Amino acid sequence: MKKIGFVIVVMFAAGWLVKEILLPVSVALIYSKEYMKLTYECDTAMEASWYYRQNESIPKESEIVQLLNCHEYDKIRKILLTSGLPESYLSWLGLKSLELYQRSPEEFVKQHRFVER
Amino acid sequence: MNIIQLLVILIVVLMNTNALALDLDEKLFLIKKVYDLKSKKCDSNSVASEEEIEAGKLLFNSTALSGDRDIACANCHLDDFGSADGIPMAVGVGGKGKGYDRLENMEGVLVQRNALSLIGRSNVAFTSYFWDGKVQIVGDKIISQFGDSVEGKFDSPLALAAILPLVERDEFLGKSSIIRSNDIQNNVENKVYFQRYMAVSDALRYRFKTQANKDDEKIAIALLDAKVDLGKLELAPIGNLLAAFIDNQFPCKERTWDKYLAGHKQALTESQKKGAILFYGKARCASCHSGEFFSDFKFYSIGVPQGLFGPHSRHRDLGRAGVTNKVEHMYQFRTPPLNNVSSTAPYGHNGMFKDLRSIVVHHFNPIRYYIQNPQKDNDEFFSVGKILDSREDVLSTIDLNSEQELKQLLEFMNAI
Repeated sequence: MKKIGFVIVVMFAAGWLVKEILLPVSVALIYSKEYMKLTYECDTAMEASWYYRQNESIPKESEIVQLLNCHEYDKIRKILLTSGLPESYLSWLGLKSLELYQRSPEEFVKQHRFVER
Repeated sequence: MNIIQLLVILIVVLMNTNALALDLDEKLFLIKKVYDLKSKKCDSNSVASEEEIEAGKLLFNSTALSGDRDIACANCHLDDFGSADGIPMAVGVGGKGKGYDRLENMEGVLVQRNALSLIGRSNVAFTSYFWDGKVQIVGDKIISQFGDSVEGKFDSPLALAAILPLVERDEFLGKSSIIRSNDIQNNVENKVYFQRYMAVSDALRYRFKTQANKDDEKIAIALLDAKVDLGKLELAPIGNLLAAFIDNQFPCKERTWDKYLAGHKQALTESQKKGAILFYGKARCASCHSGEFFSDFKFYSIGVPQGLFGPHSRHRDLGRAGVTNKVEHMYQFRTPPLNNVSSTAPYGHNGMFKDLRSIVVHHFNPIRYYIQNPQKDNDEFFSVGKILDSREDVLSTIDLNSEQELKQLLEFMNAI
């Protein structure tokens, strides 16, 4: 009886470990880069759809094709969320890919520094 | 099962979940539906007889159609260069050799526009000819500089386009000179439009009736075999025979992309498939390069640099405005069909772009060309703003954003 209880506890602990740590970490490792790329692509597609429709300078067909990137984005976003990754992590990835994060003056100064003479 | 095995299974499952997303072929299937794409049909509709095709071949390869008997259609339309001439600007009368030799021999006269390919030109999808569309078909009516006087004489717009070089000074009539001129030039003098058509027709009729040499004799026999009345010979039957030969010799070719559209999924590489998605999507190529021949046969400006040569005054090339005289058509040129495009370098109406990559880049980054090629004279320096200003709005909507995407797009263009 004691042994069964031990097995249940171990299995529960292993399950928790997999669900709360292994699964999200693995998913993050596999998909984060792709998610950032697709965030960028989908943002570009939605912006194109919004702005260019105003003066009808691009045909509807190419806009539809470009918006396929948002389908890919949605798929990967669902995988990331269902694996247990928090929404805040996805937001951070999204902001980073769109370069909307708060940036330090150090980044700017670095560009103007002599690195060799 | 240890923790490592569990992790491996987990990763495999996760990777497979990605398969739920659309794969490249599925995306291209959607593109096919959105654009209603079909593999092109290259069957000829021609009803030309063997004799007509043979006579067309003879005319195409003969210098007897030119004033000084020094140039034939075949000099600028060679198989080696995708049925163009492989040089930035064609060399017309007086030119010798083929390809770059024609430029380097420095004996001929520049035509001041890039020679176009003839592949597939007889297809009914082609509704305008030449860089500026000076021959067009609207409904059943063929429109050209000759006006209504030639109505019903030409079998197709290609037939009319085929004889236009014959009435042009730099292409066929002969070198200009105060002290000498040839029989055709004597007839043409300063005539324009339909009068010029008749002047060249009269001179050629005389040539083939009197048969001053063996070439003329051969052509006269071929024309008779093709049931052309020598006594009433005009440019129109010559154009019809040339078009019959062009249709036979330069049919449109089934390309890798056509095979893919017909259902052969392995015909394209992964990179070409990605390029196709870009072509029809965010690269906006299909906005103008649409249809089976990748052209809407309309007129646009991408701001191709003028350079130091052009057929209009002050060595400019006004493009479509040279035909319509409308300010909104300044610097516009017909959307070039892209079939077989990888073998028809150089590119642009004046051959300014030596490779496909540089002209594709010019669509979304026109500044690069001007940085790499500083303006060579005052006219060019002061006209850059006008040229860039004439660019189409759609070019500003191109959303390519990596070298890899550009490479994929170019690889797709090798398949069309």
